Amino acid sequence: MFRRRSDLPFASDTSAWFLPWMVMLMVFFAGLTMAGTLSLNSMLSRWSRSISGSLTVQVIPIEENSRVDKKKTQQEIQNVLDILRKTVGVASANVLTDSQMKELLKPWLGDTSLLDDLPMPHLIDVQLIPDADVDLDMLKALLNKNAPNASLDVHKLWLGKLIKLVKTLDLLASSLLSLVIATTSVIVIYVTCSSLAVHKPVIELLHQTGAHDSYISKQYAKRTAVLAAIGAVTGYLAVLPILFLLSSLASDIQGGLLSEARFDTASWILLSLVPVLAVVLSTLTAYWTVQRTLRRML
Amino acid sequence: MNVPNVIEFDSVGLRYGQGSEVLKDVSFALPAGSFHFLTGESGAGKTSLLSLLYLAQSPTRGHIKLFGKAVRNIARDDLPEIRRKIGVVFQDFRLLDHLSAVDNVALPLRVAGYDEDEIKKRVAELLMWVGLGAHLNAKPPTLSGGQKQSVAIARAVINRPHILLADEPTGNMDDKSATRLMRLFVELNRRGTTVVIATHNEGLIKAFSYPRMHLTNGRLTIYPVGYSPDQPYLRTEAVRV
Repeated sequence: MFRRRSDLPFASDTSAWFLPWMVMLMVFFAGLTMAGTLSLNSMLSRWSRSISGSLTVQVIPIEENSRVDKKKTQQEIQNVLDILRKTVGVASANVLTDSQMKELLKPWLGDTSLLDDLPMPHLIDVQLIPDADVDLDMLKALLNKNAPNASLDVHKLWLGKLIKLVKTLDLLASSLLSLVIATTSVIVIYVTCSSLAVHKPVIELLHQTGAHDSYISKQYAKRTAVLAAIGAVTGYLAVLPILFLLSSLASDIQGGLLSEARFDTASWILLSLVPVLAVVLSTLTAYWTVQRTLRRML
Repeated sequence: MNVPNVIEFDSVGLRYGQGSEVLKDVSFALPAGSFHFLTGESGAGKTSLLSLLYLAQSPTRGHIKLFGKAVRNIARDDLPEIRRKIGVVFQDFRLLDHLSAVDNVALPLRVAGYDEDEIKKRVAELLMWVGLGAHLNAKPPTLSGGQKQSVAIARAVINRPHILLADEPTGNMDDKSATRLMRLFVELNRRGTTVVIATHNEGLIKAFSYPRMHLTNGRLTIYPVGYSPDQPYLRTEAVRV
């Protein structure tokens, strides 16, 4: 006999029908944007972790009469190692073995014997003491003087450029997310205001029977939460397969930047917060809109 | 014993927009537990006067006091508590078509935060009493005019209001049902509710001996029991039913 239902006839609100669709789109776009930001940041932190605190010195083989002079090249490498090991802040300096070189080049050249015939440069992996302030200008000058065929590759330089790029993309993504949040709020405000105008006589009756504004606002908030939840869950379910596909494609690419652009557990948890936040945002916006509008009524 | 006034109007005027005043210099005081009929031609201002009483409007001028408090000074957040003490039967019923008769009547109790068991008991009892026991779950569009009016009246009295205002409450009823509902109002009045009933039904006014507030072009005159606007100086015989 007693069935608890909303006192307001929301079923007749045609303007509310498109709310779940809009929330679905917003969650979809927000999910994609956030996924992009999270994967870029994850890639950056992986690279940063593996690269910071290290340097690479490249020694080009010395040639005499179009042939590699192994003895002179070995001497050059030794000179470089001596300089590096005496440099303040250097923890270790090791020449990469042929097999390590082959492993590094495999993604680009494949598993081929071609590498044995090519005059490959020798790479020296230099590990720095954490937080050490290495005088790179002085190191460069010393290498130029004592080992002219050696060049110093400071990862910080290009990592800095990468960080700048990612930060710009982050900013872009944040702007996009702000736009999505603002759009969702505007849509909820519009739908709620339309509904309040349509149901003004019912609201006046509720006021007359002694209803506080919060009694009416809660009913709107509850209705908006349900509509937003339908849209948010649908949007999330729509974006998930795309993210799985992109994540799987990225991890299939070996040795590239993209292979590092994958999601970890924290990213998936953050991503699953998008629909929850969409529902919370919509609900609070509806509640606040009703409260604000009713304040202007007697 | 000095009975406090629950309603006081002092030189109250009301106009809509830039139009002429629909209520002019209305002054009166109704003591707690009084019963008055409100009469007047159509357009005389009966519904406007009632709307000031149930706080749907503010007067353009003058002062209104309800329960001893100046309406002008009541904070917006305190209005619901005042309104809960006022039951209203609207001329057009104002029932919510998407809710059942039970849920319509339960509305004042729900907004006041009563628990569902209490609501269930009180609503079912009252709807049985007004003869709607067989239509508890019926939606208003499926009810007749008289049945809708009964639901509207039940909603107005379910909260045992301190003031009951009714705008043509028996307009769609036969004489037998009208008398039955009037007895409900009388019973509420005996229990202390101040009642004001706007009506055109002279038979009802004659049948129940209560004073009459009469509006003519927005001006109010109060006639004691037995006096009427047609014969203001002659006492007619009042019949108590």
